[in-house]
Amino acid sequence: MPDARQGTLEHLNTIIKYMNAIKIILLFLITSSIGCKDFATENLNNPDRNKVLSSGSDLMPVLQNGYVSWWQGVHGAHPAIALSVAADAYSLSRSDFGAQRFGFEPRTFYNNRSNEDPDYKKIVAIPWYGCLSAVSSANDVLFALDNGVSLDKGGAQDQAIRAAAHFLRGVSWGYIGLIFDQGLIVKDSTDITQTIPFSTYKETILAAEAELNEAITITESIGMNFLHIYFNGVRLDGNQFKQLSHSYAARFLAQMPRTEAENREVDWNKVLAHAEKGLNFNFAPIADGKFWTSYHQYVFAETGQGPLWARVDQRLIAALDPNQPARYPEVSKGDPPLEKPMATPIDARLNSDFVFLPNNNFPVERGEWHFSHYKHNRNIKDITFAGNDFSDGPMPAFRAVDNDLLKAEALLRLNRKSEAVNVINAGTRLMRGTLPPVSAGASDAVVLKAIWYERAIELLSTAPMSLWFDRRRNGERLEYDRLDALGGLQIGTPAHLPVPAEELRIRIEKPYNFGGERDPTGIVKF
Amino acid sequence: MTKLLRHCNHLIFLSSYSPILHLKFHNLLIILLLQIPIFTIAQEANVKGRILAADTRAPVEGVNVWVKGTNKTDITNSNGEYEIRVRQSFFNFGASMDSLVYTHAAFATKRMAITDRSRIDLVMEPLVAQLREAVVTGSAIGRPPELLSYSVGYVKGEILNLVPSHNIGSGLQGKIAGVRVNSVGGQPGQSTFFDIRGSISIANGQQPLIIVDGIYLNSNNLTDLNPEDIEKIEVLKGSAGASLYGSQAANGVIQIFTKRGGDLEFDETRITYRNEIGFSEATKRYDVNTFTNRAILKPEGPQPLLGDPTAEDKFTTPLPNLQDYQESILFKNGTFQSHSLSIQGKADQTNFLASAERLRDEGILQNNDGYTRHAFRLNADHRVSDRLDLQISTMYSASNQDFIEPNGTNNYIAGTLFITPIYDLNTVNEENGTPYNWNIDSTGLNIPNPLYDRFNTKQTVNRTRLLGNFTLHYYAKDWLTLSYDATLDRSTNAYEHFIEKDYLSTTIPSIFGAQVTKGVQNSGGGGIYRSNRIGNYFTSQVNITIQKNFGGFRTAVRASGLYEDLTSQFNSAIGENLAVTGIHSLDNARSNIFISSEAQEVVGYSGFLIADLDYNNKYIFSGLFRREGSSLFGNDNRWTSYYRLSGACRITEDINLKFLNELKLRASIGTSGLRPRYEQRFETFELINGVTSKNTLGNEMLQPALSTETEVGVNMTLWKGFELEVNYVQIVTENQILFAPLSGAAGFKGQWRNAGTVEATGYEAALNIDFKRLLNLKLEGFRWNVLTTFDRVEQVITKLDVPSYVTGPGLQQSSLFLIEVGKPLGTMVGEVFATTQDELENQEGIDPDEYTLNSVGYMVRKDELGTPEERPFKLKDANFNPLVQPIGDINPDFRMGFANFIGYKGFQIYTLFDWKKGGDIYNRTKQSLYRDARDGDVAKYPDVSAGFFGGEGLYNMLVVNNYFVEDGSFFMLREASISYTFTKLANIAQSLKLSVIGRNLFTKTKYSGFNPDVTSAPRDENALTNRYQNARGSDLYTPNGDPSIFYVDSFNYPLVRTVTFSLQVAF
Repeated sequence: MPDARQGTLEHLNTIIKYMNAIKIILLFLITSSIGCKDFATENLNNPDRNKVLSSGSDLMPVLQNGYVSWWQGVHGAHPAIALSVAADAYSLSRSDFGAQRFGFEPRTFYNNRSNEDPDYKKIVAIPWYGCLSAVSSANDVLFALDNGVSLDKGGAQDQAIRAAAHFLRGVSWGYIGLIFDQGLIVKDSTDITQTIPFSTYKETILAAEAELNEAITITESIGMNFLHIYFNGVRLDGNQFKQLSHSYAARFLAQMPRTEAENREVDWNKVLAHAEKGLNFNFAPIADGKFWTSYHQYVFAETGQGPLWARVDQRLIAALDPNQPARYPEVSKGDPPLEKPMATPIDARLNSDFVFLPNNNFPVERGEWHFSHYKHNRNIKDITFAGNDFSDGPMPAFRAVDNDLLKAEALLRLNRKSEAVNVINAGTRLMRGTLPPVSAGASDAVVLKAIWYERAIELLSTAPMSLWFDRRRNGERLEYDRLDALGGLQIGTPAHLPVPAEELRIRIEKPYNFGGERDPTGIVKF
Repeated sequence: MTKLLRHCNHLIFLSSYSPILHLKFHNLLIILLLQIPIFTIAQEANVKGRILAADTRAPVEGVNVWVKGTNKTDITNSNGEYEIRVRQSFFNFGASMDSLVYTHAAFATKRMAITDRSRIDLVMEPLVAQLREAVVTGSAIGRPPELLSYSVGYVKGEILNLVPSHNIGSGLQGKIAGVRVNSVGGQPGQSTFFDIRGSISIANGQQPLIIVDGIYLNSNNLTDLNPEDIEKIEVLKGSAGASLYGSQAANGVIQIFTKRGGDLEFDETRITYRNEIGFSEATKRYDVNTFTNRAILKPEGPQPLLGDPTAEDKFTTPLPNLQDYQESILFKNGTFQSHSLSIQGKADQTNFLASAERLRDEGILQNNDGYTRHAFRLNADHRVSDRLDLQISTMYSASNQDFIEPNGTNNYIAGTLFITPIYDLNTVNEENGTPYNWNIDSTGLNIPNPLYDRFNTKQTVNRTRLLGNFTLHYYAKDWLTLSYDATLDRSTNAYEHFIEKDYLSTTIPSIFGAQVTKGVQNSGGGGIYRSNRIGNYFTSQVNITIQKNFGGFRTAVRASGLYEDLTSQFNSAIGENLAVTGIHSLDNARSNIFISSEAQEVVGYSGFLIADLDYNNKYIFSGLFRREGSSLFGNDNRWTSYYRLSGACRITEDINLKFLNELKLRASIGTSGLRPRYEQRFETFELINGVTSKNTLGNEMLQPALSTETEVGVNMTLWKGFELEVNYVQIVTENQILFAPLSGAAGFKGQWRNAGTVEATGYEAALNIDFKRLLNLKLEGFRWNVLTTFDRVEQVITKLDVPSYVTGPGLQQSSLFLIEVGKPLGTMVGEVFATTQDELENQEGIDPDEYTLNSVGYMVRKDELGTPEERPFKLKDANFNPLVQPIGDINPDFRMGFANFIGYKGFQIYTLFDWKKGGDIYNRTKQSLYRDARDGDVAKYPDVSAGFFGGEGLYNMLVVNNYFVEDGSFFMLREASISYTFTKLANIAQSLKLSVIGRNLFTKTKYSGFNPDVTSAPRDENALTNRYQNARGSDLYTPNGDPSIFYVDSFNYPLVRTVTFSLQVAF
């Protein structure tokens, strides 16, 4: 029987051998399957809607993000610097911020195309998407509030959030109406899966005013328990919030017109009513270097080697000193050179707000009209005006004097000239500029000019694009070689901007443009 | 007794891994010891063993075992066992007298030295596999190429190592038909990018799946690997072959195998030391403008002064104090050296490779340390028992790189070419007396002193890579094999960008903010950015393989389950306004401090069943089905399926023509996929430093793109030495993952959707001529092979469910490439300057007769010709908008490679020519240099004024236009080597090989830039694609860019020519 025993032994050994191998494999399978994970991986980086807006405590952060979107959409380097160059407020020959092409003389149209330089495309993309994104956040918050997400079951906190959301929609639509020829009015009830029709800029601004009125009404209903903390470094009580809402409503209505003719059609009664309840403080959120930054820091930037970016346009230097030309002479084209680079300080602000620079640093090949010997640096002597840093200091967005000037203009347009003169003479013209008062008997034109002057000089580097909004409604379009200091935009300057090509592409609509040779007024699309 | 002894030996063997058998072993040892006197007395020994087939592990019956030089033989029994008497002293170890020869009709003959062994177990390779080495990628068990029904590209390590490329990727160029390798430039340590059978993915790139020794790589960066380790590379070019790899395979699969000592003789140990030393240089100098259009106010150095442009405004005045910055501060001849040592060994049950490498490549830039890599590898195979194999592959490498941006206007190369070459750049700063006056440029252009930037900024990349594979094969039955694989690829990438305190500049380096500059907003200047990325790709795979042969059929069926877990973490921090000089700590930053992180986790499960079948080596069939689920796919579309069906017929098995040795016709159809990127399926709110904003709308229906490839082909061998493979492929890739932008009203920027189709047609041919066999040359030791590859691919977008759009690499070129139905991928669009009268015919408002060609070849107004007003005419559309239309196409007509090997005995010459015919490049380098008229072109036309080239002219404010599209055709001697191998070095070494090696020796091209073999770099140092708005690769539509399509030359690190001497000794 040795063979049988042998066979059994071999068999046994084989099993043992297999067992060992199988054990090893099983061990691996088990250990590896313990490590196996489920498919339900989460997005580890970015939250989704459920995470962002799941409870009442999320309402404020979401709304705050909406405020950041609006702020960045309107107050950043795009489009403020390019449009200020278009308005001859600043001069910048560099292509940064898309500014150079807005400063060409003669002016060229805004070329609304997908295949443009990104800096240039941002001029329309940043305000459009920034403001719409802000509206989208406001809508999310309003929708959540209507659907049971709450901080205090419809109490004062919920209502304050609601008011702030309406305000955000108001200022977002307001700027879309000021900047673009048409806008999209999207509410929390709008079905965004459908193509939403465009609204005209007038409709958009009227909707903005209605939203601001809604914010004011809700605030009034809350009374003392109102607090608004969505602007970095600025806490607004109910009263201040209402003032700010009124002022923005006045700004939107007053700066809406694209031409002198449209300016006459403004409902100046409404402007006056709002302005009278408007700001008596300077509204300026504080920079944090991250989200709350503004175009100011680029304008004021210093490298220790002279200005890095924009200078004040020669046209404003001519406003300060009538002996200065409104356009820097093009010596290479045969003009006589500028006799006296330094302006005569008639207005005290020339010395306090501006810095004289003997040399120009823009390449001459890019056009001597870019030259200027002045830089706006009001922040240096007045640290309450603006910071000089991205990471701190106020960023003036709505000065009380702006509101006063809107009031003065409304009074003048409503044939209440003496009241208008009083407002002007009580303001910065005398206090900061030490200029002679406007006489009570001055003509309308003189009073108006005083208003334009203050708006150009005193409001410089405050509300973004303010001078562009003002010049388009003030006077005729001017040839670039026949400029006057306080007159209208140059011929061919786009006076509003088209809806971004990207947005039109999605809607399968053709992009269109404004300005240039084909559209001297800058408002007729082609 | 014999049986008992066998039994005993069996147990001895088992005891090595089974402690529980030790007791029994001791009993049996006594029996074993009783055997010894017999051996010693007889001075002869019994050697026994068992022979198994390498592919099935089945015992091989009928192997003739012969003691060489005697008449002693034995034949294995049905268990594969044999026993034979040999002369041997058991106590005289090492005194080998005999060797055994094993022969079998179906297996390759083997020879074994007996030395001191009493047992020799062997694995014999089936002859069919000996025809050529088995190809394992994509098949059930591995098959020789003759028995494959789809096309596989194949390169052996010896060929790669004729001219070892320090990046394995670039070593593949020109060697496999259909495989194109794109390189950003010659920066040491720069990774390369593949494009296999053309571009089929619109948005998610063309990079294939790469597997090294079974390890799935989580990045295509092959720079970490030591090329000396490579045994062979197999490439599956598309879905027809690669379906096995499912949703990762539509761009092809590259599988790399490293050496393992397996092909050594038993008991052989081979030590190889290889050293290569030489230098590298730039292949050419950029042609810069040495003339000026300005008045010269002060001609003498060190600071000459240029005035305003002259009235003529032409480049006719030579620059004063002319400097050659490319020679004096930019380029150098850098040293290149590598040392590698490998030890391979093979013993009874074990074979292994251990290797170490150090590579040092200084590169060609002055003031740059280049790249250093250390790589270590240990591969080992151990036969635990007749039925159990263990394979381990490990690699660790660490590298550091003195990094410059591989392209873009911010790098050292751009800085050097931008500045007017008239200044003594070594002047000190007047501000603080530090070296290199930063604002030496007095032209008003404010170009910083490149030396100042070079010495005050530094970028470094430190990488480590760990690869590991653990594989067990269990041969449960002759026909059944179980195996288990666990693999890991772990890589770390640490990047640092440091800008020294007190940094002075008027331009801000990318990533940083304004406070990096001293004096801006009261900053002390300087900044530091650091990022760390850690990636882990773990896979775990179980395979069950069944092999059965019956009635002429040979079948192999494999069922597999694969688990994948891919994780990555990315952290970055940036700060400016440094407090202390020279400290690279993040704590040194005082303001503008940002932190950011990103993480990814991907989980995937897949299972597949593959069956390979052939009938008498004649009719070949392969089919597979794969089911795959991944967390990258939308929740509601989590599982997808793939298949392949292929067949081939070897006609020459039936007909017998003397000149026709092989004729195989094959056809294959298969599907595979392209995975969505991590963030594409999620609804996301951008979260930056605590603030959220809406980003993408989620898509729970998102699927991988589905690619279906049909391949037909022929393999033919004529007169033994003329091997031809021809393939025709059609690839349809549907469900392209595309970004559908949403209206601003939606709040979200867009949504990733399956929304398009690309169809491609390709032709490939590979011709291998072995002249010695073809011409039947009898000259011993002579060999001459020519390998020619050819490929041509045409693809077109046939469906697009999103509006057509433009995309491109990074900020300035983001609208260069058009994605539109009917257009090929890689179509360039831009504005057009007229070059013919005909183009002016339909232009409104102008009279074509008023225009004429100028000397540059562009239409200008006749009355402005030669005046400062002369401008090129830009075509306008009906709205007087500049016309934007296709201006170029990156796709070449074809590509060819010619490799030539001629050898006689120890002497060998090898060359590889690479030919690209057609295919455009956008020369952004030139366009950028036109801004300030720094390109040499402008002075070639002394009759044309500066304005013609400037902003209103060809420079066109950097807006893309037809002038800068150039034909990228080239013919290049990419690799060459001459070597001699000494073999008769009796006591010193086994062999000694001396070589002279050249890379990129010669290029013939009309392209005006540094080199036409160029593309744009994707950017992976940054986190999520849209986190840094201005980062390269931040393009919304093509995240991270696509180096296989975006052929844009923008100050790329030039391709490098190297000439080296190499010495290789084997012991």
